[in-house]
Amino acid sequence: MILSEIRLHSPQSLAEAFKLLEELKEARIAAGGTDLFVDMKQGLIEARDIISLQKIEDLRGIGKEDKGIRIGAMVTAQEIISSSLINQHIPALADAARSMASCQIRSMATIGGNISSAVPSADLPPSLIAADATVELRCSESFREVTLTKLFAGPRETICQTGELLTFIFVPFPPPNTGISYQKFALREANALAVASVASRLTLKDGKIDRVAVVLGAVAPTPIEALKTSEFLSGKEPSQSLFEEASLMAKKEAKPISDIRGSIWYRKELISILTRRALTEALLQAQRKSRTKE
Amino acid sequence: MSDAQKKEKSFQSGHKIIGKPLARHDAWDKVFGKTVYADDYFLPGMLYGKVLRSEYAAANILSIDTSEAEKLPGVKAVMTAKDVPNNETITRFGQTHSVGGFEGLYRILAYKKVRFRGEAVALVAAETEVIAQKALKLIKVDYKPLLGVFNPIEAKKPGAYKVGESESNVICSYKVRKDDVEKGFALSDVIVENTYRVPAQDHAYIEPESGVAWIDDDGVITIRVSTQVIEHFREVAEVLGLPHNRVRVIGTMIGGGFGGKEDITVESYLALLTWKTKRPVKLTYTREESILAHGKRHPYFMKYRTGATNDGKLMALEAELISDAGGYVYLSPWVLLYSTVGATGPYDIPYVKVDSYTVLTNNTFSSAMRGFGVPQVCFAYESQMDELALRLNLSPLEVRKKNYLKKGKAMATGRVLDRYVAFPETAEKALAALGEQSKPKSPAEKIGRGIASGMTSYGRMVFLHDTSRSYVGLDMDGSVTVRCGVQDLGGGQSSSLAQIAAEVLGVPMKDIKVYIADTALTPLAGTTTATRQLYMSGNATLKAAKEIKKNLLNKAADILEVKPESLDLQDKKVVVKEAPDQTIPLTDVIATCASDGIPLYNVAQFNAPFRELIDFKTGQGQVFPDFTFGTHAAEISVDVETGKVKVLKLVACLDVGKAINPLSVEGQLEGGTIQGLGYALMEDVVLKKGVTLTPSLSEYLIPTSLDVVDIDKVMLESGDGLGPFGAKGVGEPSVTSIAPAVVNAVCDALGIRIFDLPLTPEKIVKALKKS
Repeated sequence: MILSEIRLHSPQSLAEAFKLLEELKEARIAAGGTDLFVDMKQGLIEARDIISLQKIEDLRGIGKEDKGIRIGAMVTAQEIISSSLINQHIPALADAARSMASCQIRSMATIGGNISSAVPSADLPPSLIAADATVELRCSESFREVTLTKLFAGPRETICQTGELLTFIFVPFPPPNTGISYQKFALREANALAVASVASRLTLKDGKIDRVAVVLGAVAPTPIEALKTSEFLSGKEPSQSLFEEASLMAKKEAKPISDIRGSIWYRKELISILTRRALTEALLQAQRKSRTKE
Repeated sequence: MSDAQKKEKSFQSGHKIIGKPLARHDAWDKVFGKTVYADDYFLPGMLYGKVLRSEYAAANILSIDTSEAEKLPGVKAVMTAKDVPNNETITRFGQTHSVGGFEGLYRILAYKKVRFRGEAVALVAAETEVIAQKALKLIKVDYKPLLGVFNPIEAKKPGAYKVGESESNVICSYKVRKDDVEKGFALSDVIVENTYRVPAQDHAYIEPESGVAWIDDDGVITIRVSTQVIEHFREVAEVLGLPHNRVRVIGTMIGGGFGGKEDITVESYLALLTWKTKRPVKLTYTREESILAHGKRHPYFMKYRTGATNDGKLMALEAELISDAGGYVYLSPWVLLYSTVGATGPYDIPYVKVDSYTVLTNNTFSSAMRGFGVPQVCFAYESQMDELALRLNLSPLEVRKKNYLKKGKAMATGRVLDRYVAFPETAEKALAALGEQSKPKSPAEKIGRGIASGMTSYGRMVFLHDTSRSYVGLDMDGSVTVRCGVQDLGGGQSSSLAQIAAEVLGVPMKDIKVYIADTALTPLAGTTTATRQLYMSGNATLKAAKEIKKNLLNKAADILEVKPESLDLQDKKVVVKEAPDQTIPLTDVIATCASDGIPLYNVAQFNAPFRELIDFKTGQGQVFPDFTFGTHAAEISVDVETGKVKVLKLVACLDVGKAINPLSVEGQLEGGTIQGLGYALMEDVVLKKGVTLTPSLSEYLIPTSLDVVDIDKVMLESGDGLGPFGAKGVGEPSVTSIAPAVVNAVCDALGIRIFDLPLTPEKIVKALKKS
């Protein structure tokens, strides 16, 4: 596909963007373009019109609100990495962003794009889901807020309708004594998709696990919550043997496929290792938080 | 020290330019993106070429219908096998002295049958790339898929699917026999037997195959192309049925070759399309097309049986090597010969039996890649040495020290090593450079160390009667021109010639201009392959420059009334060695020479030692001019749960003879180490029934800058090389032993051995679970 044959539209506002989406039903939306343009060059996607969101200021910025952090859809991975707000309140998201691709790509790739492309191995969704994040889907007439788990419908499929844009992500402040960890396994140190990944959030109360989430990435058509595993962990006293048992349960909840990057067997092995490591790291973080309070 | 003594000292002190770490004369252009590569060329009226490639690995072509494609507006040519004047050629080897036997059929465009997926079936030239792409889709090929065979061991069996026309799938085989190997095993206390497997590796050069061709004012088909061998102009001429001198190949600065641009890549297609349309044509492969269509490093199956006494002395080695040649012969017979001669490694073994075979399959054809069959066997023999060390309770270094070849000793092929052999020196130094062993950072981590030694030839096989030519000329103002057919791969091939001329003629580097790689205008220097260019064109340039120096000094000696031996050239002056302030400006001597009719230019030819073909039934005789010896050492940590390997330390220790430009040599050592690291840990061209599962760099993984650590480069300079100033070649030797060093380190960490590359994390975890 020769890119010079395409018409690029650069709306300056959300209103303009919605108008274009109305007119050009077949148009594709470009955020950072790091996924879209690759697919177009390979001929996997054909489009005559591209609507770029680069000029829309409303989609940018990371802001602190009463109950949490609001991240504009067009915020880049690099901005997430260097944001003091995010490093302070949800460092796992910065870790996830740091594990993506390469520094060149991170300077262009956006959180909105990473979520919307709905690639099963995407790096940002698992820790966002673990953090109970929601997204706003807005169209010219209305908007709706959707939890991230509900957003994903299948590989490269979200519930976003034509005419709708993902405008921002809201991450509530984690409750006190909470740790969140993102563990990714890839075949080399950069520019590598996750073969398997796990995000875990753990809240301690009176020395016991109060609330816990275990989210598995790259081992199902979408990122999935290992609900049986988190149910098992809830209310119990944390220990290495508990985490061992939990990691074996998570392994069973994973539904990976075999491909050039890993077999089903190996991906399941990785899930159990990464679950244990994510829980361990989340626990350490949670314990550190309780200590600083004292 | 008195002033006179100081002057004399500075005079006799070695070289002025040779041995100095200099930025190459082309370095800054490359950094700033100014260097022009093949794809940067545009000509008025230029068309874009594209190649239609076979969908199937094995199929008959029942018919090809190009009518729809030809009708598409903007399409200027559609060609299939019937449109090629001489579509079939026999693979010959050697640019001047052709060697018989092992000729293989090779087609420009597929005819009646396809032998690997990606084989070129048709060519298109059109006004734009988009139109050319669309035209490809309109060509209708009626294929009848055939069974095919995808494993060389299967293909070797009688009754296997025939990849070629009717000939056997076994292209050729060699033997090495040194005494009776069973006697050796009888004398052995310990015998280690294993089968090793290595995959296809892609060159992954940053610049894919590319070229532009046009017909010049005299009707000469001119091809500007990224190539390691401009001498292919002869083959291209034969394809078109033209005299050799009616095809001109101009080599561009190459963005990486590694042997992947050693065979003809786009030249024939370009020549055909420009000849047909009479317009300039450009053809540049996409990355995916490059991975699909160009030759790979040969996959090998290697069965090794090694016997040694209890105190570690090697007694017997029996090896069976089978390589996967893929769909066409290309350079397979020669790669196999390198492996066969190199199968014993740098060790002195009294009883040896080697049998080797290279076999056609319907996989992508295999051909030249950095090391040319030697890295494969090095993995096998260096793994064997570590296995022996374990069985005998000796350290890896100890068991090697008991067996290294030395100057004056003979290889298993009977060839006596007549120059310095840097063992155990490179092994001791490499291991020492690892320093203190690192400590694991977590309970799941295990640390391991490994070494591996290799011996790699430089210079071509001696029965090819290799020669090289170079022109050096001095202009009236003392500036120098070098013209040489050398192809510059990015390894500093042309810069080295400037350094040599600068050193000999006493002229600064900035006053030297090098013209390279033009079959019409530069003396042919031979291929940039086989780690031969510094040795061959370097020596030719040295010879030419020395001839000019002789003329200059003879004339200056007349002028000064001294003996020529008492003079030298320095800083554009003729200098009296004993009295350095007695000088004549170079330009004065040049002017006198010019007016006296003394030539100040020279075209020199350098001949490598000429020998005849060895006896292939016993493998006895000399095959290579010389070898470069080296050892790599590695320290790694393995996460025993995930199987992930992290490189902690890497050392490359080679005897480079003489480092003409130490920066360039370091570059080779680093690049070779990283390419071998990829081979060890992550590179694998995965084919399933001839279809690639690693079509792009997203699936075919090569190390990124974050996967590598600083490489400790320990260069030894024995001065005992055949190249100019005692230099040896390093291009290929720099890659030979790094993969086995890394594998040995991993096996040291894990306490188990893995027998096939690459050592992916999954493979490691599976091996650990099994043990």
